[in-house]
This record gives sequence, C-alpha cells and structure tokens, in this order.
Amino acid sequence: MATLNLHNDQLPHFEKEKENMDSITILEQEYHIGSRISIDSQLATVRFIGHIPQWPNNTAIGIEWDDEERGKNDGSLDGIQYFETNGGGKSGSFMKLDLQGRKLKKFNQIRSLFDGLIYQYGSGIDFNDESNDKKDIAENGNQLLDKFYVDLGTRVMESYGFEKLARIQSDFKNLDVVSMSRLCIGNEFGISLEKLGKMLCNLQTLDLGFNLIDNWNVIVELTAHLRNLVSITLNGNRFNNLGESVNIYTGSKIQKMSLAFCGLVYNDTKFIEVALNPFSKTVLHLNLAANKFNNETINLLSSLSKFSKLEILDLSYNDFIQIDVMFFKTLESLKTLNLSHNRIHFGDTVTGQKLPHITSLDLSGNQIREWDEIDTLRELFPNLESIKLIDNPVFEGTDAIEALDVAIGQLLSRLPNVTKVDGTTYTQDQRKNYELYFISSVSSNRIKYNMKSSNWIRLCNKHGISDKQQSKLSPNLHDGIILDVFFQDSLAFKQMVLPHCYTVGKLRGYASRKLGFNVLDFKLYFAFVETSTQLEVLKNDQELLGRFNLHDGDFIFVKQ
Amino acid sequence: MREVISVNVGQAGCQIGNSCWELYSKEHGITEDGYLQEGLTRPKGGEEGFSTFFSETGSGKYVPRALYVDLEPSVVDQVRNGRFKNLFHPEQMITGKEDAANNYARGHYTVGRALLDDVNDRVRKMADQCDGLQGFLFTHSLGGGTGSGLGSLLLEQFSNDYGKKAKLEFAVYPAPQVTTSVVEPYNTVLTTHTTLENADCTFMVDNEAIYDMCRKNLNIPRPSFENLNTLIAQVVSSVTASLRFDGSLNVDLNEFQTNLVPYPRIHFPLVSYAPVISKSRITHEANSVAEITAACFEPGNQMVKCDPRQGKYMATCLLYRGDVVNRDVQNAVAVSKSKKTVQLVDWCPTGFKIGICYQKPSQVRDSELADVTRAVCMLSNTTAIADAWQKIDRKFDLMYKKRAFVHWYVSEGMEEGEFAEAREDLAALERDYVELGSDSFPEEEEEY
Amino acid sequence: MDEITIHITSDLTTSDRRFNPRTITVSQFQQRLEYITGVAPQDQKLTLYAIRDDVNTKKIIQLTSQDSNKTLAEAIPELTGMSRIHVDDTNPNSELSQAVATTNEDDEEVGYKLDDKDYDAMDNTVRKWKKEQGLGRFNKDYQANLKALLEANKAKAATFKVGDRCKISKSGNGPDELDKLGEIKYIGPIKEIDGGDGIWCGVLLDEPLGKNDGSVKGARYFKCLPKYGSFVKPSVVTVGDFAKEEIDFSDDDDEL
Repeated sequence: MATLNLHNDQLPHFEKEKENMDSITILEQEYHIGSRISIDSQLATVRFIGHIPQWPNNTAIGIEWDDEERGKNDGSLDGIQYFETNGGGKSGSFMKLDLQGRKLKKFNQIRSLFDGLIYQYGSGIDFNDESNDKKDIAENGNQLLDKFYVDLGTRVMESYGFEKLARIQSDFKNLDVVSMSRLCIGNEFGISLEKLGKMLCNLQTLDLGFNLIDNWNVIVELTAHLRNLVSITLNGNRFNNLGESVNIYTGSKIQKMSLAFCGLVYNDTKFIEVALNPFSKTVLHLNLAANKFNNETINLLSSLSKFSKLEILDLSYNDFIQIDVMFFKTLESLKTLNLSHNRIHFGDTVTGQKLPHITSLDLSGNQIREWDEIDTLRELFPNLESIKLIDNPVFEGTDAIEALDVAIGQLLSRLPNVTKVDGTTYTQDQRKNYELYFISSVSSNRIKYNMKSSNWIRLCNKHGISDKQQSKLSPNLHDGIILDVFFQDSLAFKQMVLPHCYTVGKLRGYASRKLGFNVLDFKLYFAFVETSTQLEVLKNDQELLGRFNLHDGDFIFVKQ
Repeated sequence: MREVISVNVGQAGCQIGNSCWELYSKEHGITEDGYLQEGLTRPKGGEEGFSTFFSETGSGKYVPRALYVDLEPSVVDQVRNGRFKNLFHPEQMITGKEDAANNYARGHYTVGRALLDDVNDRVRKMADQCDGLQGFLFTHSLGGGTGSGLGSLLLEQFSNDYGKKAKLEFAVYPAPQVTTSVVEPYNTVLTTHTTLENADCTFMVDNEAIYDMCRKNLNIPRPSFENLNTLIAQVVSSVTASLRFDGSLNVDLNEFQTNLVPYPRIHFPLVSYAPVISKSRITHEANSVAEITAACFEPGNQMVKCDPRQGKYMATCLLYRGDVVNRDVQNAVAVSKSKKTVQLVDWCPTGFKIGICYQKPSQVRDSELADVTRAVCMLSNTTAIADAWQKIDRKFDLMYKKRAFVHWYVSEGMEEGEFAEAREDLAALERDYVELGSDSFPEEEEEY
Repeated sequence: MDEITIHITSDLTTSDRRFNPRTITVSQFQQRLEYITGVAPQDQKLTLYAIRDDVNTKKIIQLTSQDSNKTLAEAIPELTGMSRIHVDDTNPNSELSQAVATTNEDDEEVGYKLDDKDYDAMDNTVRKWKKEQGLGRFNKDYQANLKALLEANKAKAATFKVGDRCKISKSGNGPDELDKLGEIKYIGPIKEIDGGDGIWCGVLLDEPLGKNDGSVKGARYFKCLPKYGSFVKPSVVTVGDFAKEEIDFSDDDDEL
C-alpha cells in the first residue's frame, strides 16, 4: 500500500568502479549491509552490495527476506558464497539494480515516523490553514478527503461520517490508538520528539508492526516521549542495531509489548538482555511469538527474570520441545503462559520442580501424544485453572461429541483445579460427572490408569470409594458376582448374579420393588464372607458394585 | 435523550440478554454493581450514548433499561443470583411458575397472557421515566414456547400501546440441521406471522452458524451456551454500537428501517461480523481493514447460513468500529465489491451505506475473543435469506399435512385457522422475496 | 443432586434439557418428553445410555404405571449428567408416526402451494407495492428500457466481426476491472446464460485472466486454453487496433 512516486531525477547513484561497496543509494535512500529494505511490500535485510558475474553491467544487492521461503538461495550463486543467510536455503536473493526506472518500481520508499502518521491519519488536515502546526511538512499535499463513494454498477455505496473521522483524527491529540503497520517506516522521526510527544499526548496503543525500524534506540526514545503509551506492537521489525547509547528510561508506563516475528534469535546475544531493560519494571504482557526460540536458545531470554511484574508471556509459534521449568521459575509473577504451536511433549520431563504460579496454559498445537503426559502436566502445574490442548495428537479423533466427552473426562480427572478447557468453562457438577465416568472406565479397563497413583487415590476419596476397595481392584469386572442377598433379618436369602457395572442404586431399586418399601426407607450393607458380621454400608447410589471388591459368596444385607 | 428499552423474553432471550448487558457494562465503564469504574467520572459513550441504554439514579448508580421475562423461573434466577444481580432492580425480572412447554399457544394465549398485565405495568413505568423513548429491542427465540408465544404477544401489545415507536428484534432462528423439538416449525411460523406487522427490523441468528464460528474461528471444540452467547453479544453490541456511542450510521432505531427496509414486510437483514479470532491466535492473524472487510463477505462470518452470492442485494450497511482510516475502508470495499458478485436489485429504493462508530470494541472478562482495535459489522438485506423461510416452511408442512400435534395448540385456545393463515402469510413472504429478486436489468459487466 | 443436563434424542429431534431428577416425577418427565419429541407417554420406549457414548451402558428403561409418581432419581438411578435418553415411538398409528411418514412423501405432494392468482390478489405484498409504485416490470418504461438495452447491445455487436482485436473495459479500479485485451471469437446469443435474449461476445484473451476455455455451462462456443476465454456483453467491448503486448521475459532475471 505504500505509494511510490518515482521521479525521473531520483535514479540510483553508484560507482561502477568500486567492487565492494559499503553503501548504495536507491530512491534517495542510503542502504548499507544490514539495512532494512522493503521490496514490493515485502521486508528484507541488505546483506551484500556489489557485482556478480551473472550481471556484468549492473550492480547487485544481495538480500535476505524475512519470509524464509520467498528467496531463491542461501546467499550463494554458482558456488560463490556472497553472504550467509540465517534462515537457510530459500531466504536469500539477488536483485538487479539498473537505470531503467521500471525495475526500481519495486523498491518502496522509506518514510519517517511523522510521514507515516500524516499518511495514515492526516487526510483531514487543512494545509491551507496557516495556524496549523503541521506545516512542518512541505510535501504531501493531502486534501481534505471528500465523502467517498464506491461504484457498484447501477448504484453507489456512500460513506457517512468519514469526513468527520478524518477531521477528528487529524488532530493527533484525539488519537488514543494509532496503527501504522506496514508503512515502510524507518529510523527517522521526521519531527522533533518533543513536538511528537505533545501531539500524541493521549496515545495509549501504538502498532508499528512490519516496518523498517532496526535501531532499538528509536524505540527507547519514542516511548520515553509518549507519556501515556501503554501498549506497543513492534512485530516484524528486525532490530539489528542496539543503538549507540541506550538510555535507561525508567518512567515508561508500557504494560504490553509485542515483539513477534522479530527474528530475535538472530540478534546479538546481548540484544534482548540490554534492549528490554527499560521496560522491565512495568511490562505485564510480553509477546515473543514466532522468533525461533527453542530449548537451546532459551538462555537468550535470561534477562526476563528482571520482569518482576510479568503476568502474561507468549512464546507461541517457536520451536520448544519441552518446558524448561528452571527458566519459568524465575518469572515469579507469571500467571498465563502461551506455548501453543511448538513441539512440546512431556515424555522425558522429569518432575520434581513445580510452577505453582501459573494458572493458565495454552499448549494447543503441540506434540502431546499420551494421556499420561497430562499427569506430568499436573505435577508441573499444580494450580492450573485453564488449559488449551486442542490440536495435539492425543486429541485426534475427537470430532464426534462423544469422543470429545471421553477426552474431556480424561483431562478433568487428571487436572483437579482446571475449570476451563479449550475455552469452555465446566461447573463442579459437570466435573463430577466426568470424573465418575473416568473412574468407571478405568475400573472396567477401557482406560488404563495407574491405580496406585496419588491422583487415583484422590479421585476415589473424593467420590467416596474407600481404601480397601481401591487397592484390591479386580481387573476383570465384566463378569457378574454371585452374592447372597438377605432381606431384613430373615435368614432366607436370594442368590443373585449381579454384574459389576450394576450400580448400588439399581440394587436399591430392585430391593425396593421386592420388599415393597420406598427406596429411601432402607439401607444396604455388604460383608465379606470371612468377616460376615462386619457390615459396611453400600453407600452412594452412583457407585458400581464392582468397586466394593466383592467376590462370589459375599453378602448383601437389606435392612430398614 | 433517546432511550431504548430492551426486552428479553424466554430462555434464549434472557441468556443472550445477560451476555449483552455484561458487555454493555464493560463498554460503558460500569461495574457489576452499577457504579462507575475506578478512574471514570462519567460513563463512556457520552451523555447521549449511554443514557439510551442506562438510566441514572439519584445515588449515582446506573441501571440498564431492560426487562427479563420468562414463564418459568430457572433461567432468570441465574441472573437474580449471578454476578450481575446488583445491576438490575428486582422489578426488572418477571417470571411465572410453569413454562410454555415448547408451545406457542401457551406462551401467547394461556400461560403467557397471565403475565401480560405485569409486563405492561413495568414497561409503562420504564417508559414514563424516559424523555424521548425511541422504541424497543426484543430478544427471543422463534422455536421455543415462551420466546415465540409470549414474545409475539408483547410485540402486538407494544404496537397498540406505543404506536409509532420503533421495535427491533434479535431472533434466534431454529438451526436447520438439528431440530430441538418436534413443534419448532409450528412455533416459528406462528410467531413470524404474528410479528411480521409489528416489528420494524429483525436480525436473525442461527445457533448452528454461531456454533461453527466458535469451533472454526475460536478453536473451541465443545462450545457451551456461554461461549455462543458471548459471541452473539459481541455481534449485538456491534449492531447497537451507534445507538450507544458516537457513530455516523444507524444512530437511532428508526434509521435501521430507513436504511435497510425497502418494504415493511421485508425486514430481515443478514448480519455478518468480523473479526472472530481467538485471543491465542491473534499474533498470527492480521486484522487490517482489508481483511475484516473481506471476511464479512465470507459465509463463515454470517449469523444465518445462506448464500448471498445466489441472491440479490436490496440494501447494505457496513459499520466499521474503532481504529480505521478513510483510505483503507475505501480500498477494502472496492476490492470486496469487485471480487464477489454483488448483484443488486437495481429498481429498489433503499441504499448502500458505509458508516463508522468511533468507539473500539471491548471484550468481557474471560472472553475467548481477541481484543482488537477494529471490527466491522455488515447488515445486508438480501433475497438469499428467504432460504431460511423455505426450510422452516417445509418442516411445517410435513407436520401440518397430518395435523400432527395441532390439538396441543387448539386446547390452549387457539383456532386451527390461525395455522392456515400463518402458513399462507409465510408463503406470501417467500413469494415476496422472489418478486424482489426479479425484474433487475441484466448486469452489463457480468462475465462468464 | 441438583439439575442435570440430559441429552434427549428421538428420530426427529436432538436436544439437551435440564431436569432435577430429585424433584421431577416420572409422569411429569414423560410429559416433557412428549412436548419435545412428539411421542405420547403411553407409546414411549425409553433407552438409557448412562454414559452417552458407551454402548455398554445402554439399557431399556422399564416403566410401569406404578412408577409414575416416583421421582426420576428413584426410577432411573443410573441417570447421570452424561446420560442420553433415546425416545422411540412404539405406536405405528400415532400422530408422530403419521407425520414421520410424510417425510418420505414427495415434496410436490406435501408442500404448501400458493397459487399465483391468490398471491396477486393479496393486499400487503411486494408485488402489489411494485405495481403501485411502478417498480421493476411495472415501471412504464421497463419494457422499453429493457428492449433498448438489448437493442444497443445488438447494434454494437453488429459492428463487430469474429477475428477483430478488442479490449474489455469495466468501471471501477479493482484488480478485476483492469482492461483486458483479446480477439473476438464468437458473437451471438448464449441460451445457457440468459435463455437467448441477449447478444454476447466470446473473447479469446491475450492473458489467462478469463473464466473458461471457450465453453460455458457445458456448451462450447469456441476453443482455447483454460482461463483464456471470456463471455461478455458487447457494451463492455471496444474493437480496435489493440496490438498484442509483447511480454518482456527479460524481467525474469531480475532476481536470482
């Protein structure tokens, strides 16, 4: 969307004689090795300037595209390595520069920050108004935009309220949100920072994503002057340059900062450590998604421990294969962690360390394969309240609602404090149902679970299944048990074959019909053959008979 | 002051209403108890804005201009005992003891009628507090008993009592693929017939469409009613945004009709909304004006499943909200228009308008929707929506041919003739859409 | 146990409903089921899936008249919040069965038909409105204008010949509306598009920016590679000396 007005007198200059050039001028803009450049609205970094044998009459620039699939090579051509790409085999390209204006059309003009602001929000500025303090800029004669319309053939689509919008926006003091992404904004401010700060005195949210800013100092100074700025998005900018002096400004109010797609692992190792310092006291929400972080490079983020107030950290779309507990432990205020779209699994994770502060975890799009890994998750995150696990192999095949229910049962039973799964809140009642279902599935062998585990014991206790019953579970519960059922104090008994999956309630129903008593008017007891006088209450109507560890020949008593 | 009174009828109506008021409170800076949030001296939206929907008491408390009506108490009890119990006055909730058992006739004639006086009284009280009542916003479902029966009864009543005041509806239309009760088609046809003359503009929402949006756009695999209603509330908020905040289009209830309704019966605009993105995915999705505009023309962002590409457009309102600039909107609309086949009814007098509401969208606590700085809502009166009527009419015919269950209605005091009358009215409505879609001159620029 | 949500299904319906099994009686429950599914209580056969997806927990619920006053919890103790109850109709002559039978009948037989005469006679319709306001075909100039449009196209087409170089121009600035150059390959009616009323031009485009390979809706009017063919109205076609643009392939080594 950036406009290019290429005038005939703005052709590039270069000296044919020099073989290795340290800079080149295109469209009045000087580029060095490492400069950020925009070609046809796609961002890249200049990595080479000079001549290549394939184009004997032209200068070539070697670039590395931000989009690693966009290019044609890894910085080499016909066996000669002109530069080395970070991103691999298809991130590099060589572009031909020549005098014919038509080829240079593709190179986008870089703008200053102020230029970008005028371009985006300045359409309502009246440049004829002498008192206007934006007369600083001589070019860009934007006119007051008329009411616009879009031709629909026989009719038009008319706009309402856009002139007023333009007018409101053109007084920059009215702006609390400014979006200036993809406007080819470079390191220049284009106006004094004091003036900018005054104009944007009410600005709270700023998006400078996918521009050409590479000097971190620009960000530090800018944020220092935007006194009310609370949220800043810098996605897609590659900060290759720390800046000569990074002032540690402690007055910034910035609570939310986004540095996704910034190629952060390619930076100088000191970068993150130093660059983020000025913001460490105030930032609550930090987005570092899509930066190629992995378990080896996580040490690059060691300075994050200074972020004493950090509550939300987004490390999605990186390349982690496991959760580095030691690292996250240093972030004491952290509550919400987004690790979606990595390659995380818990197969080799050693438990012992915990991350008790974390209550919300997004692990969607990872590589969790087995339900047992969820138990490991529980150990690591004992206070987890909200979890996302969609798009993991363990969830595969859960398109049908019934299959999904089984999966949720597995999840909730293993994560006792969780109330929200994949965006949906589950009540305590719903949880109870899912847990009982899980228990019965484990008991009947449809699900394998370690019945000696503390989680199993906890579940059984919660639902009133006693110790003795837990530890001696017979594995094959599909058969029936032959029980002698005594009614009241009669010595006569009825021998019944009762399936394990019969519930106590069912038996109660049967007994009530047999005796003609109201179902609530009697109690059920059981006793083992060996200890026949020790009656124990068959409590909980939902309970399956199999849970009480009864064997053939044991007794049931029905008494009022 | 131009006040709007919201009336929520039946289970669906009350649950959606609840989600809407939660969102409105957040947008206007009002806490769960009805007081201003810390740091604010006035509610957001300016004097004109929030007072359309909230009244202010002497003690500085803000009360929604809302009424909850249901024939059985369990759903409204959730409001009475929920987080927002202090936001509403007990008199704003009217419940009966036994429900309508999925029966329009019970809601409209017998059980529902018993509540009528109460409701009228409360509405009258609220209306009397208003300086310049604009009209009413009804939320209800079409397939249930209370929403359809009592809902249409109230709409009739308000037409009598409040004559010229505008009445807009948000109606939950029965999902085409899943029938939740066997007499849903009866209830839908009966209520649509009764309401056709009394409502000025009706925005339909099909639960299935919302369900799919939750699953596909928000990655919620097992959407609960809470998830659905949170999304519906976001859409309702965008439709009513210009009533409550400074905006340029549809700033009062009458304008909806002026802009979108060429002929009174044809008042069912299709609603589309964008962006619907999960907060976990926001980094990876671009949210530019171009993208959200294009999304509006996608079937996946529509509140009712139908295909506007097979129909013709009579009127459209595109309402942007939040941080947008002139140029971006102009470009986005031009691109969308040229890519899709926007076929017009060229002889129709209504227009095509683009407007802006300056307030950006908000999210409720715990919402799965990403916090975005801009959004767009498209209201299009398209002949494609006749599809919805066709589907429900067919289901009606299958039952009615054998007069199945008609006696349930007759035993509650309805006349069988009303069925025939209603069905004829809907048949005429389907015909009306066919008439609207015909007689346009062939598109000269059409390419095959 | 407070209210639980039970998944109720029948041949025609699917829904989730809330009940309190401790307070609702069996007969009340069966009545509710009737209003949802259409099956009369005496005809109901209830199958319980204690756990929705688990066929092993499936069982038919036997209810006798003695159960009517029992609570649901007493009568069906296995009922949980994850249960499903499927309702079958055991009566082939019931209202519901009759209605279900109609779902298999022909649409023609079942659907309500509104006669055009009757629609025409109705008061509050769009057709009446169009008549009163002179809109659409009721506009006195409609026929004349339509005819004029067709005539204009015909007249313009008469100045074209097959083989002429031409340009297709549309209004607007979007990417779909850029001018396209090509050669006329067909002039005449295309009944597949509009029944044969209008005259169309089939154009073979210089670049693959078209919609077809010379055929439309199965009928072939000329032959070309896919996307090189387009059918448009003469009104958007200008005939002239539009030379084929040489595509400069030297652009290709712009980037290595």
